[in-house]
Amino acid sequence: MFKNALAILAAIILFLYPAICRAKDIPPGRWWHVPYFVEQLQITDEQKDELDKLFDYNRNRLAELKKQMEQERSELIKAFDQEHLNESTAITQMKKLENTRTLLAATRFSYSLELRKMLGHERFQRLKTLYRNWPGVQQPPNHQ
Amino acid sequence: MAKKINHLDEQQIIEAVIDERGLDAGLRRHLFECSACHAEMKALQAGLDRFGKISREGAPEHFRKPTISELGTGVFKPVWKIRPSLGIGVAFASILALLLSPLTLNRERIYTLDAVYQEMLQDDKFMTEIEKLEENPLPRFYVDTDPGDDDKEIQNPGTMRDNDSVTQDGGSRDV
Repeated sequence: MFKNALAILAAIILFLYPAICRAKDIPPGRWWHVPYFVEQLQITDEQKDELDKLFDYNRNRLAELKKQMEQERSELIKAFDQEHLNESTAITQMKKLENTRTLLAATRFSYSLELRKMLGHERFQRLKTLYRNWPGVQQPPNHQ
Repeated sequence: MAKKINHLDEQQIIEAVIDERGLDAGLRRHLFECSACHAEMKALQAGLDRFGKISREGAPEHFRKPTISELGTGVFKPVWKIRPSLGIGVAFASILALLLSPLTLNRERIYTLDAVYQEMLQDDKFMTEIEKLEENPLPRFYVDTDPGDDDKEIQNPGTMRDNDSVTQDGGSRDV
């Protein structure tokens, strides 16, 4: 059951992979507290609260999965590098790592998805355009 | 010869019931000493009281004098004295409201622009790590071989002879 669910999830992610690749179109961090984005996109206080919650949840989950992946990776490398190779252990470990990777991709994608739902089509497109034209965090705040 | 004071008449008895101070000192002294006059005054007083009671009970609703409850008599009592639990609740709610008010929770004070920029840089770095991990969770060695390795193998002096340059498809190459 769980394997089937993971397989479906993996298929969805592969299907939506181009969208995931475009995640860099979205500014990092809490951009909704930067006046440049807030004014242009008319982000309300309620939306700021919702975005804060979404960001906190998503980044905490990603951090957990990253840690989990790193542990599983080190276990896989250990199994792989043993003098007497246990093939089944290595394969099982690889599968675990792949499952976690799928979850990681899904979690990363879910953030973009929630953001897209919250902002709507027009504002989401505008966010991407604004981010492309943004001078960046190196600029002093009064230059925004 | 001492002046003899007569018993109080009906009018004087009524006056004594309403306000004894309206009588002169001699009559008041007589009322105090004379048991008959005193008893007559008490009887009238009791009759009036009884009559008042009957009138209060028997009078129609709209004729009755409105009564004011004890709480509303104008004597101020603080709420925490009347209902301590309510007082504690009100105090707690006030403190909570103050703590959660927009004046106390200034969003921009928590998320200063500098802090937001710092977090953006850190998040960018974090997301780059996530992307790398997502693309390939293993070191490259465990997944495939570097395309450059083939060239190294071909050019390995131990496996090559002079003028025998071998292409990747196995054909010989003229130099």
